Amino acid sequence: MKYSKYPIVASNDPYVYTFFSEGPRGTIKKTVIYSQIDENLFNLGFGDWNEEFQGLDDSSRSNNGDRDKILATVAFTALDFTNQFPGARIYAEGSTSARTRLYQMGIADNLLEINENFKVEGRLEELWEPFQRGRNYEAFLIRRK
Amino acid sequence: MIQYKIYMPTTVDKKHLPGITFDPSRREYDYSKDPFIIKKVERARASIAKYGLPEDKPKRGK
Repeated sequence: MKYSKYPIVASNDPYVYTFFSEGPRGTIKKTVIYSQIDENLFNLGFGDWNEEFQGLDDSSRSNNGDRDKILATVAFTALDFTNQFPGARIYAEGSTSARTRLYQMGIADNLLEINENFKVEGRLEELWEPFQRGRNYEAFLIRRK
Repeated sequence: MIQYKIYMPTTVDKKHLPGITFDPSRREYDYSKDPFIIKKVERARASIAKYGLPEDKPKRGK
């Protein structure tokens, strides 16, 4: 990846990765969770730990000035996860169109490196196609080559 | 509300990539019960049921 990434802690639960975003708004705990929804199919969930209600949340924008580093870190968890589960397909869809667009920018910015290891497809108007820059996809499916 | 089962891990003993620390004692929270995760999984299931996956559907231009 062309961007640096945060150190990640994988827990005893192999579907969970945690890291800490550092920036002007302080230290923010981020968690990436791969939830199995079908055979070899996992949903990528990504959010901030919300101290107030003691749970995950992706409704707030942390604005910590490290978007690219965060997205590179999330992409790296996908690399590790698919090392653990080589046949896994990862489905990703943001909770809002803005979130989905954020995923899209992260993929587009790192497409060259991502393409070395992954096949990425995007869903647009009900049809899937190989990921292309400049298209506003509604969801993504990622698998190892 | 429908409660979907979220399958949680079986043992994985492969090594993680450099840059990833493995902490076997760490499991402070059951994410499978987190409302955010349940909602995300519900949304993914609904989307996949409605639109399918690439292998289920014709691809653009075909």
